[in-house]
Amino acid sequence: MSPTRLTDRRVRGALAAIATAVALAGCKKSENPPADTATPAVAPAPDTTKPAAAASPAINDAQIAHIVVTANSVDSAAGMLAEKKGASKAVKDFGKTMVTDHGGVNKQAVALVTKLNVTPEDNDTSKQLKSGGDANLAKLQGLSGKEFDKAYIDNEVAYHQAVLDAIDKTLIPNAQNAELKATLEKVRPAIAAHLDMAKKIQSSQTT
Amino acid sequence: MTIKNFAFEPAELTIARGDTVVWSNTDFVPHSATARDSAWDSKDIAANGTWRDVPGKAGRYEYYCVLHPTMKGTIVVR
Repeated sequence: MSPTRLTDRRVRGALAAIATAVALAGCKKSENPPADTATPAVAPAPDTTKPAAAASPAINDAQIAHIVVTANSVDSAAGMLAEKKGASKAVKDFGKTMVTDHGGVNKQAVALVTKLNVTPEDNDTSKQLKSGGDANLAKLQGLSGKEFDKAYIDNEVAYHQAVLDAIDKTLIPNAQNAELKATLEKVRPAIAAHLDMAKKIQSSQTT
Repeated sequence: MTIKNFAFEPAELTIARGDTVVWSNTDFVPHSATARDSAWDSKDIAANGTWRDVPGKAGRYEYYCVLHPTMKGTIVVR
């Protein structure tokens, strides 16, 4: 059987939640309208945050691999910016850790797909993650000082929460290959730790 | 000591003075084992890397990972 056709359609609905959450985080501060150049796929739709992702979607391993690599790269890119533009030491350090950690996870993911001879397959979720990440970067580029720190950390909290939910509800349950599943299970604590760290910084920021 | 899934295992370890403690990092990412009172600091322990130390003085040492400050552990030297 050929799972690709079917899954490609389903993955969109199931994982759109990640991109939506990220886009929402990006749009949170409404006084700073996001760049108009952002792709229409992520900019609107503030009304579809219902956690529908639990409804057993089908998604193949090649797509999961692509989502993992994309999600890591998106957060690495934001981390690099925070390392450079962050105002507080906490934000700079956090950004640096994101670059290091997501780089480490991606190295592992690439090693695994190479070993399994899987070619990561682009899909709507990856595309949305990428365009959401680009919109976030564009927004952050225009900010500085405390505004930058707050916007960056707010997005990091929302992003890691969304990725954690996706790992638990979609990626791990659908991974077919045992090693891919094990890798996802090993990545999970990293995302959970990052979420805790980001929340801690966030709470120290909000007076 | 194992560093696994962003946690120190065991979270608390009691040793005798002169014992060697080895931290073994099984995660994909670097971690550190850094004493709060700066008595010792592993600096980055690479993914799949190890670091060893012989805490010299008796006492209770709380430590954490500089890269992930939510990771905490304690070494008790008797």
